[in-house]
Order: sequence, then structure tokens, then C-alpha cells
Amino acid sequence: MNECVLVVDDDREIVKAIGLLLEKEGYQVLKAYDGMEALKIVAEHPVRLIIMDVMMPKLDGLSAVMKIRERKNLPIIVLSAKSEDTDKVLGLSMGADDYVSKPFNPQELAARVKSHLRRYTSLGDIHAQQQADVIHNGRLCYRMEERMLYADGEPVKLTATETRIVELLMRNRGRIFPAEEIYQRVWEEEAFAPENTVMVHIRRIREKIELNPKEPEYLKVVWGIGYKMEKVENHC
Amino acid sequence: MDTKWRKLRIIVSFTVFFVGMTLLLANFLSMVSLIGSNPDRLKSRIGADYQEQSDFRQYMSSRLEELLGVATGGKGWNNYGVVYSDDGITYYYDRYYDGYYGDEWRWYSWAEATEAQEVERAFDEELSVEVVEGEADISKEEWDEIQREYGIPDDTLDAIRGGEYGTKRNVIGDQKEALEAYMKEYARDKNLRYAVIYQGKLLYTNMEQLEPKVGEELQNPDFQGYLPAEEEYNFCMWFNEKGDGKVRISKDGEDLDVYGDGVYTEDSLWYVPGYTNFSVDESTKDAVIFIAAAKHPKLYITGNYSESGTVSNWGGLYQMQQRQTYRRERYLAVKWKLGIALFLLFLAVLLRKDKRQADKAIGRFLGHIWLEPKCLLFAGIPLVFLFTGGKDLLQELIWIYEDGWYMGAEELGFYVGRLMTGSSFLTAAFWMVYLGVLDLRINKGNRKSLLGPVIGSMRTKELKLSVQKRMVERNSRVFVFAVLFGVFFTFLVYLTCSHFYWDPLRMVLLIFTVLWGICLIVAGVWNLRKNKELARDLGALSDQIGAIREGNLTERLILPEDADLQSAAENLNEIQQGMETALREQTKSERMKVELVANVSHDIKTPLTSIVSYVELLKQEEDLPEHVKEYVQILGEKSERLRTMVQDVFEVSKAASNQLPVNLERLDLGKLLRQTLADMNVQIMESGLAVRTRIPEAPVMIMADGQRLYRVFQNLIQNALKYSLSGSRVFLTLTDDGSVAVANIKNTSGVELDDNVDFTERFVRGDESRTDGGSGLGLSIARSFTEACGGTFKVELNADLFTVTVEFPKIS
Repeated sequence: MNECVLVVDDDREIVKAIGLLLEKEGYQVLKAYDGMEALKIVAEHPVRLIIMDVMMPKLDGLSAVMKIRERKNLPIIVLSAKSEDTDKVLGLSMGADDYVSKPFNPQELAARVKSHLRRYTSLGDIHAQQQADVIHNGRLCYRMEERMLYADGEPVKLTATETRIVELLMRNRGRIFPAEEIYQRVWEEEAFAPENTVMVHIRRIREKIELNPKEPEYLKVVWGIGYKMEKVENHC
Repeated sequence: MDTKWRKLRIIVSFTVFFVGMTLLLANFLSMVSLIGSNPDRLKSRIGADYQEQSDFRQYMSSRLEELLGVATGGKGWNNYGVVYSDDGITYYYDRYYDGYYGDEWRWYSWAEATEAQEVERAFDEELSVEVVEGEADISKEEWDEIQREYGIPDDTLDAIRGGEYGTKRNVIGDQKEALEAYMKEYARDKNLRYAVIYQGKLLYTNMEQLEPKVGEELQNPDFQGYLPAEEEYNFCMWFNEKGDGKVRISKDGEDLDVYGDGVYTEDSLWYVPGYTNFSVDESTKDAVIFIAAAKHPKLYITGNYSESGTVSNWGGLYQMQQRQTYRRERYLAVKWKLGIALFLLFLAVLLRKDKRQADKAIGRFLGHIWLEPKCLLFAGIPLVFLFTGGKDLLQELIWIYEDGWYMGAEELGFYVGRLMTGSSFLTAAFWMVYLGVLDLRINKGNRKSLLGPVIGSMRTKELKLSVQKRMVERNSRVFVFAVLFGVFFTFLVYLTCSHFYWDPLRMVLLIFTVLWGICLIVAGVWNLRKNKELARDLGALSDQIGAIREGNLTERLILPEDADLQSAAENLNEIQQGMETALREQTKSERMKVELVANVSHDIKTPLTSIVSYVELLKQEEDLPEHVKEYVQILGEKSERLRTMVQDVFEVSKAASNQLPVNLERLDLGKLLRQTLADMNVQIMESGLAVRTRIPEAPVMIMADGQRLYRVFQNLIQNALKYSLSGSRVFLTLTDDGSVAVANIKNTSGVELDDNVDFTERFVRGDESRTDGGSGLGLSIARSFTEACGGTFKVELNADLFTVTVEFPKIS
């Protein structure tokens, strides 16, 4: 593929480590150590994705993101040591597509890069031809006719039960289902203490669809109430 | 059965104590007087032989003297006359010096009567009569009749009533006649046998065998031989038997030592002539007297119906013996009663535990009685006693008051003493005090009182008022009472003064009183005004304190410069300012602390990112030797732990300074626990421990932040899994007691824990030497998050049983 990814951070070791990781995945990596440098590289090279640290000398990450957004519509993942919710909201509203807090899991970062790039390149046109029997939710996409779930355009292998759970949750994005209800509607029988059974399936689905199954973005537990499929805005 | 027996014992113990104490007290004074008396005298007074008494010796001496007077025909044979009584009438014989009839002592008699018919009879016998005032059962009509019949002058009754008894003397005649009459009476008492010989001639005797010889010459007769055989006369007394003017006494056939060392002193037993310092004159030496006393005196009644009905020898030896018998019986009774009393009290001591129970029961019973009647009773019983037993005293007091005399301390002491020595008073007083003390002791603090509810309702009414109004009300009350008192007092003074003549001193006193009253009113008004101001300031002060409590730290209290509470207000203002400053400082320092932790954790996170990334790269290297791969594995684990720890420290510090954002929502705690357990199922399986749960199916709704609460239980379960004894069980229960939801996690600790450690402190771990495992923040985070959500978090350690309790108020 050799897609071009720009990594920006004032910490050279981090830039180098991310570079090595992404090169192993087969990306071409460009490096910058402050915001100004990043702007220059973006202007000169065909960059497909940017990983940008927030706190940097000369021009900070968020300002750089705003400048880039003025001209380019490419995925930007913001990195920050700040993990407050307010920081995330600020970063995303400034034009970033994703937010990863330090210290991050390198595998997760790689997975996110892959996910963003795939949607940016190969799936860009899919949501133009909107179909009634297709449910889109962020990276996910469920085709009713095929009874198949796609993540970033790639089909996800699910068992029959898992598919029924995913269909139920995808059809009712944002709605919270108590474990009893999921059990009743999927297994179609009364359940006694269904939490364990439901949880096992949810964990398996997460491993297949989430970038970081430990911190799920889509399939969430609402503690003390039930489970839900988070409604995620379709980027790009 | 057991309780019944106990109850019986309690009742018996108190009854025993009550009877014992009452007996002791009732006989206490008798006992004291018995103990205090001379033992020899006591023995003679209560002994079986009445002749051992000093009364007897005195009686016999007097008889001897009397008979000596009779023998010599002298004037001293009787000082006060024989007093004998018949039913209802008492006869008196006496003599008086009659100047009209020459230098002669004349004899007369009179009677004291209480009944109308006796007054009649006394007049029949031509005796003068004293009607005992107040007791004579004689009406005006009856008296008028008597007066008519006997021709008594009108002024007689007044004279009689005036206390001049004996004004109408019934002169019996000359001395000889009087003597004959007297001796006639004398002879009646057969307990005392006598013979009087003068100048060898027998004058008088009441011994039947000797009576024929009256008036005959009798030389050295054997008097004892004439004594009637059917009666036993064991006591004999001879005077001048041998012409020496001495007395011989024999008792039960044995002569007694009459004179001792021959000199008469106060202590001598016999007051009879014959001592060296107690001799008789020559004419008396011509008399020979014999007196014998019966061993067992009897009551002799003579039916003197032709004259005055029956006459008895009431008085004399018979009565003396009766008195002694009575005394002995009383003495024995007292002894027995005291013995019984002491025995009962001893029993009461043995049963003291039960008695204490009885005391408590009685005390509680007394507690049910209103206080006021009790007080009245307490004051009233002595008063009642004063009115019954102390009637004399009061009458005396009234009389003294009416008469215008004042009672001296001595008299007062006498009457009060007489009151106090009454046994019944002592007993009553003891029980009153006993019950009083019992009541005070048992019902400490919770008195039932009639006035109590009234005062209570007044108090609650008062509590509703503000401080200033309360003060004003109290002050006004005192002021009103003071004014009323002043008015009343002035009126009283005016009344007193108006009743008497006006003199300058009284005028000055009255003026001063009025002036004093005016001063009182002026001072009262001024005080009232000042107090009103004080009350107003006090109200402002208390309002200000309330405002500070509400959190208003900026508004200051301004009082007038001359206010009593000015300095207090200033102090309060300073405290308020200090609090404001302190609060500002604290907020600032909290914020700085959080900022510091945030900065530090940020600074740690950046290098940590590199570490984590390069470890990941190292992991991906394929041609590493096995041991290096192992090192990389360890590096990976440790860096991961460091990552979570940094995050934990940040959150704990935020929670500790109350800056943790929480998103409270309605949730089912039971469901949350089940979800958490399901979520951690893998970890639980891997730990090899069994988790036993008891969570109700029904929803237990609380308000909390689900995400935070999940962390709480995740940490708690992780903690339990990590530190439990291998193979043991972890118990997780949720109970719902209506208003509170209580989640409980119990596990058996694998290592011995020190129960003085607060496990929720940051960086505290059960086993200090442990180097692997947790950060020491797990419980600290759990507590912080629980409290941030409005719950309570409690850790208990009982031996190896480690219990964590999380409580949340339930919502409907």
C-alpha cells in the first residue's frame, strides 16, 4: 500500500517508536517534531493520515490541526498525555478525528490508523449510495440482507447468536437493553441470572469489532442498567 | 414458678424489714430509757417482789410516821389527808388553819364530781363540790334544780368555777372526830395490818383478833401472833419494841439491817427514826407501833351502801403491786419486741438483695405519684402530728398569745421535746424520710408532676420565640411581679400605720417605703429598656451565627458602639474573617495540589509512552533469545502497572479534593453487582477462589455514578481475589433493609493483617513487605469513589475475616 502517515511529536523517541511500529505494518512514515514542521510536510507531501501530539513547541498540536483542516480533509489522530474528558472533547471539536491518550497501547494505535485509513480511502463512497437495509454506525456497518457486519468495510466473522445480538443492538443504537431482555429476544426463552451468558457473548463480539476491547467504543456496559450499542457519528 | 418464688421473696424481704424497723422504732425510746436507768433500781421496779421497791419503803415509812402521829394524838398524823376515790367522785380530806375558831386546825373534806347525780350526792353528804370545768355533764336546768333543792346561793357556782374549791368547807368537827373518821377509812385496807399502842394502851388496830382489846393495857404483845392466819403477812415493822425508839423490820421471818452504820444519809434505805442523827422526842417514846404488809396485796371493796356505795382500797400496796406487775409485763414485752425486731432486721439483711428489688419497685411506684401531693404529704404528716400530739403545745401557744405573754425558749424547748419523744412521731418520721429518700434515689430526673406539663407547655411555647423576645418576656414577668409586690407591700404598710396612731417615726418609715417603691419602679423600667436593647443585640448576634453556619462569610455584624455585646460581635467578625481566609487558603491549596498531581502525572506519562512503545517493539522482534523475551515480558507487565498506577494516583487526588466529576443516575445496585461479576468472570475463574453471592432479584435502586461504582466493586473484588487465602471463599451479599442498600464483601485474608491499619489510606497494603500485586490504591479509590457518589464505605477486620461494607441510601 505504502500509504504516507505523518507522525508529529516533540519527543523524538516516541516519534521513532511509532514510526517503527507503522513501518512494520507497511506504511510510509514521515516525521515532524513541532507544529510548523508538520504544516510544511503536509504542504509538500501526499500525507494520508496525521498522528499529532498536543503539547509541542512553536505551534501546538491543536492549532496545527485547525490550520491543516482549513485546506485538507484527511484523518487526524490526536495524542495527548491529558486524559480528561474535557481535553478529548476539545481535541475532537478542533477538527481531530480521533483522540488517543498517552501512554497508549501501540497495537491500538496501529489498529486505529488502519481503520481510519481504510475508511478514508476505500469506503469513502459507500455512504453516498445510502441503502435502507444497511445500518451504519461509525466504523461499523450491518447489512440486513446478508446478515453480515462489516468493520471498516471488512466483514466480521460472527456466530449465529452473536449476529442476533449485533442485529438487535445495531437496529436500536443508543437504546439500553437489560441482560434479561437481550436473553429473551435472542435465545427466545426465560432466563435466570442471564448476566454471565450475555457478558460472555458481548466480550467475544468486542474482541472482533473493537480496536481496544478493554476500552470499548461501540459495545458498552451501562453499569447497573444493561448494555447498549453506542451511537457513533459517521466520520469523513 | 421461679418468678413467682422471686416475687414472694421480694415481698417477704420488705415486709420483714418494715415490721422489724417499725417494732424497733416504736420501742426505741423505751429501750433507751431502760438502758439509761440504774440496773439495781430497774431490777427492784420490775422484780417479782413488790416490797423491794423504794416506793414500798417510802410508803411504809410514811405509814409509820402517820401512825406515830395518830399514837401521840399529835397534829402531824396526816399532811394532806387520805385521798380515796369512789366511782366518779374523789374525796379529799385536808386541814386548814381557822383563825375564826381560835388557833385550831380544822378538818374538812370536799369532793370533785363530774356527773350531775354525783354533784347531788356530794351535796347530800354536805360536802363542798367542785364541778370540773368543761367536763361536768351538768346542764343549766339540772344545776338550777340542785340549787333549789339544797338552797345553794347564786354565787356558789361562779365561786366553784372560779377555781376556789373548798370555799364551802364541810367541817367534820374537831381533831378527835376527824381522827376517828380518818382511822375508820384507814382500817379498810386489810393489806396493811397495824396496831398502835400509846403509854401501854392499845389505841387502834385493824387486826380482828386484837380489836376486842382496844382501850386495854397491853404489855409487849406478840403482834405477829394476832395476824390472821388465812393471809400471809411476810413483812413486819416494829417501832419502839424495846423502848429504845428504834425500828425493827423483819421479812419472811428474818430481821433486816435497817440502820446500817447508824447515821442517816440521803442514800439510806429506810427513812425511820432510830439513827444517831434521827431521834424521837420523849412523848413519842411512849408509843409502840406494829405494821405488817401482805405478801400478795388484794383489792378490798367494802359495800358501804347505807352511806356512799362501795368503797375500795384503790391505791396503796395493791396498786403498787399492780403497777410493778404492769411494769414487768411492759418490760418483758419491750424485750420481746426488740428481740423480734432485731431478728427480723437480721433476716432483712440476709434478704438485702431482694429488699433492694422491693425498694426499687416501691420507688418506681412512688415515681407514678405526682410530686406536689408527695411534697404536701411530706410537710403535712408532721403537721397533722403537731395538731394531734401537739394540741397542748398549740393551746398553750394560743393561751400565751391571748394573754400577751411570750413563751421563753425553755418552755418552748420543753413542749417541742415532748413532741419529739413520741414513739409514733419517730416511727412516722422515719418512714417518711425513708420513702422520701427512696423516691429521690430511684426516680432521679424523671419526676411526674402536676405543674410539669404546664411548665413544659410554657417552655415549648417560649422556645418558638426568638432569643430577644424570650428575654424580654422573662424580664417583663419579673418586673410585673416586682411591681405587684411593691404595691401590695406599700398597702400593707399603710394599713399597719393607719391602724395605729401617727408618729414621726412611722411617717418617715412610710415615706421611705414609698420612695423605695418608686426607686424600684424606675430601676425596673431602666433595666427593662436596657435588657430590651441587649435582647435585640443578642438576637442579631444569634442571627449572625446562623448566617455563618449557612456559609455567609462576607457580611459583618455591626452593633452600636456602646452595646453590651460589642466586643462579642467584634470577636465574631474576626472569627468570620479568619474562617473566610482559611477557606480561601484551603481551596487554593487543594486546587494547587490537584494541579501538581496532574502536572506530575503528565510528566510521567510522556516517558512512559516511550517505554511502552519500545517494549512493544521489542516484543515484535523475532530473533531474540528466550531469556531476553522473558525480560521483555516482565518489562511489559511492569510498565502496564505503572500506567494504571499513574492513572489511579490522578483520580485519587482528584477525589480527595472533591474535584471528581460524578454523573449520578438511577441504577439497580443488584444488577450492577451481577454485571461486574460477569465482567470479571475470567479473573474469578483464574483465581481458583469461589465467589458466593446473595443478591436479591428485585431491583435495589440507588442514585450513583455507574462507571465509578463499577470501579469500586471491581477494585473490591480484585482485592479479594488477590489477597484471599487460596482455596477459600469470597462472599458478596447485597441486603436491602428498606431505606439503605448494603453491599458486603467478605474474604479470608491469606496473610495475617494488623487491625490497627487503616486500609483505605493511600498506599497502604495489608502486607507491607509485598512487592508484587497492587498499588495500595485499590481500597483508597473504592472509598473515594463511594463517598463521591454519596455512599458510605467501611472496612472491618475481625481476625482474618476482612469485611468491606458499602452503603447507599435507597430511592423509591
